[in-house]
Amino acid sequence: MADKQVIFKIQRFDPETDKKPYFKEYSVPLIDGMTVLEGLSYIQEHIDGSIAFRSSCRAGVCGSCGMHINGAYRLACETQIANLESDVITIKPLAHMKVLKDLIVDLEPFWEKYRSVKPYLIPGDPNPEIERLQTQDEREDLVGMIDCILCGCCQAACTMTGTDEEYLGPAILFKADRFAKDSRDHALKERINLTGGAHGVWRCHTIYNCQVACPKKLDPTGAIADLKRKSIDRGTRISFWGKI
Amino acid sequence: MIRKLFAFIIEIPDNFHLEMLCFAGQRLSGILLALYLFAHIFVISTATLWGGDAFTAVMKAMHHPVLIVLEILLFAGVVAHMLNGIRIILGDFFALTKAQKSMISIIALIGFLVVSIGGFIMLYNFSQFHS
Amino acid sequence: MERSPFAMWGWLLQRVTGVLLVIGMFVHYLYLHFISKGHITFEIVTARLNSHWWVFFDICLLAIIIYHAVYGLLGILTDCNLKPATQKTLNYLFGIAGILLFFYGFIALLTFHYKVPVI
Ligand code: SF4
Ligand code: SF4
Ligand code: FES
Repeated sequence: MADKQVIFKIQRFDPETDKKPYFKEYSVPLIDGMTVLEGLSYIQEHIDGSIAFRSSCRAGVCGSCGMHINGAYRLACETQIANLESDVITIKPLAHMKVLKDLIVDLEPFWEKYRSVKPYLIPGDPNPEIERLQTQDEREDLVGMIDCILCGCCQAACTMTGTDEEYLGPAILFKADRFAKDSRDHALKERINLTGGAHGVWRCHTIYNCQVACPKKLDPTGAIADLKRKSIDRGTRISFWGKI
Repeated sequence: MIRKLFAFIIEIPDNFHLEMLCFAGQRLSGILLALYLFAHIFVISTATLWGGDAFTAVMKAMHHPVLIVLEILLFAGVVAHMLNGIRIILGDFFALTKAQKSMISIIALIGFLVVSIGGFIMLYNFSQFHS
Repeated sequence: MERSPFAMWGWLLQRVTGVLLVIGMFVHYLYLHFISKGHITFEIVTARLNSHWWVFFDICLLAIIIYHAVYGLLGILTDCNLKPATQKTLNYLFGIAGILLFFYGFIALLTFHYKVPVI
């Protein structure tokens, strides 16, 4: 029963043939419960095989399908077409990143920044025999911190990643704070050094675009604010009393 | 470079929500208030440059119906910049980032009250002493 | 990336001056726009600035607001990720402009305190 059609207006760009990105429209028969990602797959399979986009898990877990859909950054696989309440669906790739083809952007600079903040536990002592224990409270500090799927929606929504290419950005700083908050981690000093530069937390103007954009309803703005407070706590003490 | 300088306006359609508008408003009002500040300092300095009478003359000329409207707009800009600044500081320093949406409503309400009461007083004072 | 005390202090002072300005502008507006009425004249201002407290208050307000305005404008340029050399030049330029502006305003204020131009 494919009587209702939706128009997919997709930003296309092929670096080998196109000078500039342009929009192309596709008509897709709407099925009950159809997601934007399913629509994209339909186009790829039945209308235009040349269209390029990323996806993998189709369940909002892998973070591959972040894109700008009808005015906001969303995960294509978790966005129901019906919920958009529009007959036209406009799709653009994540902003502030180089477009490789159509909806696929170059994430290499993103991963480079990601690696630069050491996104792993640094306990600083030899491994214990069984495991590193946490109290209930310590574990609760991490609620809402470990759910980031690195989809890059916040990174694209942040105005500052657009003006300052070197700015680490909300997704990266969020990860940095996830480890700074972990009671098993003992590298706070290093983490502050890695994130407290001019292209780190101080570039954030608390615009909240990242918090609004996050499809997982996380709070990167809050994480950056936490890093700022940690940085100020340490930084002011160093400024006033020298090395500590 | 121009694109970057005005990114705070250019990117509004892509991120169309109150938070982004607050940011754009904060930037725009900040730039305008800074420019006003420079003009304000210059006007005050007329007393140094050309003496007290020149200052009084300038002040008298500025007591003008059009300028009082601009002055109320200026007051609104100051109040908006101030209240949004408080919202930003509360979020950053007091871990209130999750409450920022309700804070927008609260500052909008406070701003509306302060600007209407203040604007009324300014208009009243002006009408009383305008001859 | 290295931790940058310069960036941190700049950012932090922008917030601190912001909070101080809320208080300062409250007093400034309350007294100059809501309490005092009528045309402002040179004599009215000299009468107010006869008090050392008002002079102190106005000088503080001047310094704080100039920091906030100049750092704010500089920050908009800093956001554009300029070349380090350009950024450094701008930092000095804005710093010097701010200091000059402060002294200009300072002299203007003293004119009202001493009732004659000090220079
Ligand atoms: S709060 Fe900070 S990181 Fe988030 S969008 Fe704003 S400037 Fe970017
Ligand atoms: S914080 Fe949210 S928006 Fe940002 S990368 Fe993680 S899941 Fe995506
Ligand atoms: S495909 Fe994995 S998050 Fe959408």
